[in-house]
Amino acid sequence: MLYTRLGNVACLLAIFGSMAAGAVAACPPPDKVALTGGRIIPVSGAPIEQGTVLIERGKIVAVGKDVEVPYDARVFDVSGKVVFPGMINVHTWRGMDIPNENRPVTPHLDARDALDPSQLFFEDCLRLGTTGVHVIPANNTVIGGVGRVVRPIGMTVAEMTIAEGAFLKISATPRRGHDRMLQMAMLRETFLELDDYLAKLAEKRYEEKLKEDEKEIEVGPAEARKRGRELIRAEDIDDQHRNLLRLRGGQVRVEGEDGPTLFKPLGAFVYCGNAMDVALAVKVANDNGFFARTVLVLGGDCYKAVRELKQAARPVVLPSQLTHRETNPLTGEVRETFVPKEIFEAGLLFALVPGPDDSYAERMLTYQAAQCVRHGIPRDEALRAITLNPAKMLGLEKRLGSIEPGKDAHLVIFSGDPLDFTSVVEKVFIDGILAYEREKDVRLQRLLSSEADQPQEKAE
Amino acid sequence: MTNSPSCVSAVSQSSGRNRIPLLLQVLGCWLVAVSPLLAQVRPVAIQEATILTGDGRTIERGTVVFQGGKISAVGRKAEVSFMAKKIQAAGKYVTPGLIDAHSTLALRFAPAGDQATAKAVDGFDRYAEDEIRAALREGVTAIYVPSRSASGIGGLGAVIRLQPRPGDDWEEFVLTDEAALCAAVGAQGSQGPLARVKAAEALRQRFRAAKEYRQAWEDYEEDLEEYEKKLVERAKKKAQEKKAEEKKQPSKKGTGGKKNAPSRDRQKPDQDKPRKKDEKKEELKKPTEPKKDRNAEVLLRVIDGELRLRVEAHHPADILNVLQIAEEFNAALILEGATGAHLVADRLAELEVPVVLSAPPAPVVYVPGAGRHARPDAAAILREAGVDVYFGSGVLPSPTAPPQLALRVARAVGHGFDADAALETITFKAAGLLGVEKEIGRVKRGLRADLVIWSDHPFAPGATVERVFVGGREVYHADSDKEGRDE
Amino acid sequence: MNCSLVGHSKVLVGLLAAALLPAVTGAQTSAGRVVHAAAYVGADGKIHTGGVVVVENGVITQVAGDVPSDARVDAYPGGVVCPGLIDCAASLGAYGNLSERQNAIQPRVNARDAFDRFSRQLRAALAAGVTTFALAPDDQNLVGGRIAVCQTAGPDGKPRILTEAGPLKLSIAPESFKQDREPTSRAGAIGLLRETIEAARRDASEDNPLAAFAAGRLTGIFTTPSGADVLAALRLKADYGLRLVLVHTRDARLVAEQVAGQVTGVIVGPLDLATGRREALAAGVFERHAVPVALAGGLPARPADSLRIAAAVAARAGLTPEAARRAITAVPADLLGMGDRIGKIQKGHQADLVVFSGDPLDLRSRVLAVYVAGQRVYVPGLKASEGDRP
Repeated sequence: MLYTRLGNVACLLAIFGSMAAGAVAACPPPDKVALTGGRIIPVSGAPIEQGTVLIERGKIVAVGKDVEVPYDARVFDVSGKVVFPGMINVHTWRGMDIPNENRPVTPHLDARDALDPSQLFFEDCLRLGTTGVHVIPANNTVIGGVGRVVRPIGMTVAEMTIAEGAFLKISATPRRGHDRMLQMAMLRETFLELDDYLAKLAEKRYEEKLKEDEKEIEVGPAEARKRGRELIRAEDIDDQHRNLLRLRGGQVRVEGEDGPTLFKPLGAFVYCGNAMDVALAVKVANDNGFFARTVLVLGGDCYKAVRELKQAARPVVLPSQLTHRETNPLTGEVRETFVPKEIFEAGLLFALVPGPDDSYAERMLTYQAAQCVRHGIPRDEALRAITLNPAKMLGLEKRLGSIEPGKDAHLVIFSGDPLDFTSVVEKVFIDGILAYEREKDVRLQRLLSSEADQPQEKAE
Repeated sequence: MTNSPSCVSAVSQSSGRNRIPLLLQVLGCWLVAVSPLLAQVRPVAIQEATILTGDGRTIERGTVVFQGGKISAVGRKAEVSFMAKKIQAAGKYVTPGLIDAHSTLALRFAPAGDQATAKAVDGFDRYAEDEIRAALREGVTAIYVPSRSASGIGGLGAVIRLQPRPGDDWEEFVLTDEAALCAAVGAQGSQGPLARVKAAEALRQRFRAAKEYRQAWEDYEEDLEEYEKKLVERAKKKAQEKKAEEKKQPSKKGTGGKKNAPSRDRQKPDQDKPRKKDEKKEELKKPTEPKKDRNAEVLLRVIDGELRLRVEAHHPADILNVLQIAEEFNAALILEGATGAHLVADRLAELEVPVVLSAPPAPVVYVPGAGRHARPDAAAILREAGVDVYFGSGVLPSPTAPPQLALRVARAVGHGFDADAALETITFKAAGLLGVEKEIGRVKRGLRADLVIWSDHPFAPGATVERVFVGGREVYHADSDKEGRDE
Repeated sequence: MNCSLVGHSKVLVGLLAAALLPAVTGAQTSAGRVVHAAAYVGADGKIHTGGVVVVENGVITQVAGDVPSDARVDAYPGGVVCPGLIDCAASLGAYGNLSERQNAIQPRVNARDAFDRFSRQLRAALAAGVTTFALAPDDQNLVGGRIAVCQTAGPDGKPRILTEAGPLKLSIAPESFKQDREPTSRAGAIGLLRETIEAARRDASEDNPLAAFAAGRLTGIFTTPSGADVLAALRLKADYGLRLVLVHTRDARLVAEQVAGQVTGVIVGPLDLATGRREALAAGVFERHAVPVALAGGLPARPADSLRIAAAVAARAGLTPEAARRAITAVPADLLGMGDRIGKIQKGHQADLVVFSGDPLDLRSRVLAVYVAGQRVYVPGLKASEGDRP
């Protein structure tokens, strides 16, 4: 936990909440919170009727029918409601100012520097029950930068952060103005250049070392590079290459003055816009040693590469357009494929993402999951695809994605079944903080009121 | 594949004891489980067909047997094992899969910058089932895919064997992803004559720069050798000096001397620092390493003859420019498109530059621009002059457009091209041009089983492709081709 | 192909003859002439052996049988005699001059007026075996005007107009909908056509081609690119009893059944080597529904041999070889209303003949000679480098 909830921070949150979000102020969390009487869908197991969730200091400590509620707990009676894990949007650029930097290769960029806590996007996340957002540069790139997992409350990026960025964005599909070949050539060359860079750096370090020791150089550059490799310190590596190194080497051990420094390894979210990109993405990941930490972000017709995907057995993020349509050029007949079904049948770990904002339905993760159920995917699997699966992909399955003791208390109170389109999000708890209450959602109420002719506030 | 040997042995054992019901049982069980494997293992024999081998021979009523993806026997009396699946093809023709020497089939392409490291194989959409099937329906089983932008150097072309649904062995279907370095030279559309000069000069400049790059590295390596030699000398000298000193001044404290050695060393240079440093500066300067240029390295492979250079050029003036550049840098050149090649046929023959004709048939009306010199009998003129001519379907205008390779070549014959040499140019010889003649292009023992069964001679009117095998696997069957018919 | 050597020497003789002939044609015609090849393409589209075609006064007087003893014989051992090819959708000699776009209804426009008989394109078409073509107004207008049937060469070797009174050209292609004039949509186009036809029915004057069309006396060649266009045209036909030839390729498999029996024929194409499967299948689909099919050549915006390319492509996609041969000879002649005069090798027809070195459908075959009205107007040069481009 990078972020500790201090009283003053919570106060700030409260102020921020009432000011900007129009949602319920995030109050300082009481030590103990109990949600009683609701139907609990823990996702990790069978639903519990009229169960209780007990939260202590932002963590879930007990879930079940016969949980004793301590006398000092703040109790919310949620009888007749449904308690659901906070949902996770596993792949979005929203929350940043722009989707992508103009330059094609920007591994040094970090979503941290572009996140804007005041964006209405986060307010919408709360309203729809999304409590974890993986904000990462968009797909119009070659290497885009590092993402970050945030919660949609907080005044600063640090407050919002659930986890440091652990993934670099890479696109196997050409960015605008690139053709496919150029895209791949650039990717290949980026890693070749990294080798050159490290070699030169090693040489430089070796020379520096000799100078320090006031020795004269007695070997040629090739040998110097070999010897210098051990001398590279963490601070010698520039921003541009640090993340590439983390991506490629996993844990990179470099000797520093205070002993060896460990770089945390980075994984990658690799975007494959078309089926043909899948094999290329897998190859790039394999060639550069980050395959085991790769999540594939799929576009429209990627299900065609299901054989490759199955072989790769990496988690996949599905396109927000769940049904892929294509016209047979000969007959004019439209072929429709429900993508999640293909992926599910291949036995892959998959996550759903919300659609664009202008689609009222598809921007709800619950709707996306409901579509899956409608097309024959088991309900449990569909629910996991918006909660536990994305948590697993992000390496946060010990903290998020289900209602189990020990996990962070990210909970959504629905008025009915989450996959029922008439259900609404009534309350959202994030780390035990009551972060959203529908009754107090001023903006939503204004939208729903008869005075709808008032000028609407611009959504971003 | 681990299952396959046991499968075979099971079958052969039971058949040996003549226990047919058991054999059937065993077969039935295995068929379900390992039918794809079985297809690989069980030989297939196409019998009674007229075989056009691709290298000019015709075998009447011949048999082709293939197994495990390769052709295992060809001839009038090729032995057919009792296990083989037999295909009766009396009255039909069998040819090697046709090879399209220049095709943009399923190439997802948007012209971009000038670079040599891009690979066409990255741009080939292996899932473009409709397009791939359209090619198979015309008997085309392998294509050369260029990587090329509108002008300048584009990247590395690939030779890909076609299959409508990619399998796990897709890599095997890419015969080479570095078939040639692609480039285009010439004025586009309404650009003036100077644009032509500029385009040629740009290409020349790239090669020149590549040579300079190599020179820079060679110089550097030479300097480096010198430098390293001097380093060794200096180290020796130093060691001698040290020895001499040690002799002069025997150790103070025996073993303890070692510990102190560094400090002594450090002191030592301090004493005679001024003189030594001057020497060092004069003698030992580390040479600077030139910057890596991977594009230039690809061009150098062309200059060294490791990689062929394929240039699209149309206007005869452009072609002459390219010839000059190729000669200057000793590049093995192939011309593509080349609608004006017949006007410089003698020069092409003299320099032994092959030509891939891939432009669409030219209309009767005059069209300004690249194709204005096109004429239907260009192939015949070039061949008469002694130029090696090949055919490609070029840039296909739509995803459903088939590469009508056989008709294209038949038309060239109608315009005077040697009828006997025609089929070779899209089979055996094309394979040679692409450097894959040991893999595909002929109906020959040991080569890949890429075969087409035609209803008639491939150039005959109304001839249709009935079945296509790629790597021994049936990838097209006219009877199950719903889209190929009107029902 | 074993005839090629012999063929060449014959061609040499022929070349001399052709050079001398035009001067003496008038005197020679009555004596009769025999084109003697190995086979000929019959009116049924099949290739028949005994390629003897006897011509007198420009007209075919005998097909097959013995060679008359007194006649002059042009021998083409191994050759196949085919009717002169007919392109029913050409703009040869008027390329770019058939695009009038001021008015959507212009029945009095006649393509004849755009014809430039000195154009070199005509020679290229002739060299590919195209003897006759329909000079047709393009698809920019609902009623584009009158089609003129022309020849790439007359018996004197000079291009000529065979008839000015060809069918009427109509179109509801998208390019006929314009923002700056009526119509702007298909519905508007059909509405306007109905108005026009009804008005023409009231106007009985003899010289109004629209009146003749509205009364079902004059054929309309109607460009209908989509299946919906075809159905719209068929409704007009049903309502007014029109005589129609449809120009349609794309949705053949969807509308062939409805089209059957309703129209004189269908013009498919142009098809070329890059034509998609859907288009290539069209001709075969119509044939199977017993709809007469002609293939468009689209000269001169296409290669000179585009008629044969179209036939070869269609034949590979299921059109029978007989129908494919007829689709570039007899059927277009019928559709242009000239079926009793040209397009077939049969007694009484004008002797427009092409001698190929083999089956005209086989793209490997070469043109050995072209005759118009019994006169040899073209023999190819000997060197490939002197090919067919003007």
